[in-house]
Amino acid sequence: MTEEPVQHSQPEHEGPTTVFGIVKDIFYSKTYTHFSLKLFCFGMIWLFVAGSFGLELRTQAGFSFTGNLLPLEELGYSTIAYFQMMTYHAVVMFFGTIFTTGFSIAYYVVPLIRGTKKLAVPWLANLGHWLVVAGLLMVIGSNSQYMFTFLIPLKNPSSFYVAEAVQFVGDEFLIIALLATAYIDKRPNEKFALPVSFIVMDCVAMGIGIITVLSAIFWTILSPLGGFNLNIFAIPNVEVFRAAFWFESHPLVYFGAFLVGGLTVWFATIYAKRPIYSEKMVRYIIAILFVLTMSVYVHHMAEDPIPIWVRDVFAQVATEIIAVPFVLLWTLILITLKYSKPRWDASLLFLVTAIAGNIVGGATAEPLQPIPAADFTVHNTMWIPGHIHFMMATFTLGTFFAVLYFTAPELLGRKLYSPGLAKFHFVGWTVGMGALEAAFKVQGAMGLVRREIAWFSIYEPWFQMAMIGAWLAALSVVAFGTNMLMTWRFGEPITPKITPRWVISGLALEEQARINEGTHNPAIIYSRLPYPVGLQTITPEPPPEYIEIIEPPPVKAGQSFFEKISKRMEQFRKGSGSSLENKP
Amino acid sequence: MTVLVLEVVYTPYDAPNYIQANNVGEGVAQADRPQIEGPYQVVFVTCEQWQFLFYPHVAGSPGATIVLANIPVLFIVRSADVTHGFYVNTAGQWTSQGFQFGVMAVPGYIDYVVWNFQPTATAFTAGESLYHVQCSEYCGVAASGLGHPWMDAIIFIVPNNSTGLALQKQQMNSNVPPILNGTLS
Repeated sequence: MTEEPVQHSQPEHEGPTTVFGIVKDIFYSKTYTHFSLKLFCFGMIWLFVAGSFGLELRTQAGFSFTGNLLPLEELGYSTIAYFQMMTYHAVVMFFGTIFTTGFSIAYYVVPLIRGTKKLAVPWLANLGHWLVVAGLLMVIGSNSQYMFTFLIPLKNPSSFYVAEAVQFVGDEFLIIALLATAYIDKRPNEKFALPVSFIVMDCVAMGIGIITVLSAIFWTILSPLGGFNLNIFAIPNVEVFRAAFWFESHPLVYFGAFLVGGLTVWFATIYAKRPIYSEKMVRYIIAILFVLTMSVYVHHMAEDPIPIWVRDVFAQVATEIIAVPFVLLWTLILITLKYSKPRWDASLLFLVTAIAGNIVGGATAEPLQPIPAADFTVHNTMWIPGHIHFMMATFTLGTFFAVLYFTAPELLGRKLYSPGLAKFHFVGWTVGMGALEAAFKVQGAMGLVRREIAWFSIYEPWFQMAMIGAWLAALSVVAFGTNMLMTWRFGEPITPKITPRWVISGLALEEQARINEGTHNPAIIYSRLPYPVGLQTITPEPPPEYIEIIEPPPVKAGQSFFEKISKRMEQFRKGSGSSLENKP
Repeated sequence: MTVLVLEVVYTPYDAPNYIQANNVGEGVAQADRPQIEGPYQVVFVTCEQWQFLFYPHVAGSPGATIVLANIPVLFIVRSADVTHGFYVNTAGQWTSQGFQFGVMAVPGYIDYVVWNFQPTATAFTAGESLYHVQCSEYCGVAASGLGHPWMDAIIFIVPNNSTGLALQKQQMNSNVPPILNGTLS
């Protein structure tokens, strides 16, 4: 650590200096770094909100199997509130936590990797973000018991349909602005690096998917179900709406994972200190995933009255085929990591566990399909929440955490405050969510229908197991948030770099992969950034500072983690400030 | 041997405010018929918030019906209001899967599900066995707190012999499920 004052901000960073400027910057972020940080903060807020709903559900289920409510009536708690929170948990986790955090990562890495370092249409991106915020707040306040389209003709409050419309329009704006950021200043001979390719593919797929669900929502608003007495259309056809919902929902399920799909490939190569095997195959996989992500939806309609060839043939085949590119991708990553003796920090642990989560979650999707011969009906049972938590919590959020531990410290200009807390986060999250998912799966196999508040007592121990797992996962997320806050405020400053080291390493190793495979074309550029090719970016120097295993210094009195926090709190209470000058 | 066939035909929408032109199902898909050969029983199931109504049913209890074992039962399932799930199950034993099958009840459509209830040694020691029917698609909760989680029904299975037939006839006030014979195609 240098004794000279260090300029922590990146050279292109010109932050606001006045209170008005800061407020204005929060409402209208012009730079990609500030916009990304804003989205990250909101993603964490949504994680807290939706996680609170989830904890309430698990606590209720863990303490009662008869439907007796927790003693919270004075807060307005009721059976209806229980089901409302179930809907809010799902909606806010998807469209708040996963979308916003995923966008945060994507908006940061796309300009960075391309070297443009530019947010293409800041007004559209900021507008989209605030529409999502407004929409989700309206959802939480809408008093709705259930999701929007696939349960019609159940009638939601009008505000719920409007809220969903607002939120999806906001998401569409964010997608368009992200695509614009990916294409701005694109040169004729420029191609996308793998992380950017994944993001562009994902945005196109999700952009198409959102159109179908937006159509469904507007149709509902204009029908007698909309509640505005417009009645321009009749009550929508249930099956068409279920199809529209699921058509949109399957790109949605993969949305977060695809946003960071390319980054996971890069980080695997950086950890392994060797190029990906093979870059060409990854590009084929991106194209295949784009097609298949929008054909899997039919298996959600396994018991619906739709033509049998659609249900039994198309659904079955589509769902099984999408496993192929996923397995290929994980195989490439694991082959690259094999025998490489990588540094097993929290980031890589999260990445490998996320791959395992995807494999288990994907495999357990198979019995959800119509397989009469298997005599195994788990559709609409707790098997489904088990599957979705594998895919969302262990897989998607797992990859997010892996990427965030890698990128956030450098974005903040500081070393990760506590690698130990990061590992606690990994263990708590993996074990906690794993317990919850396993409990759900067993309950589904035993035949427990989902979305219930009362059940036979035989299922109750599994709910208790899920409750313990949920609270453990929540505790680990608190550790994550604390670690990020402490990194921001008290992390050891790192030497400012124009471009993070992982970007240079990723670009160089990807180029080396093309050279190895004979697809290298010197006339094509993948970034404006200058980078050396191949392992020379890695071998002469140690890995990036912030992922090094730092030998902890001997703990002196007043230097332990909790003592530091206590001291800061004391300083804060006394009004002596908590600036860096006071750092011991 | 247990046989499960999920089949479907399309019918006009019967909800309030129904407009024929909006029924995209009718005429689009081919009607698939249950593949049954030989005798089969027929039970109509109407799902509505928040109960299952069987026809025929136990006298005085529209949420309970009695069928014979070893003769396939054709359940003709419809919804009178919103989407429900007609889900028949018995609770599993810890890590073993319970008996379960089901079909969606979608307003505007009629679903068929056929199940050949099999006697099991334990189930038939008392002369009859019981299956629990539950709504498996969330269909709302009333302000009182009651609703979807408590939407359930009961199917009794009795042996296909003189004792079972007598029990069925007595409990259902002689209005037993008709047994049709032949091939549906």
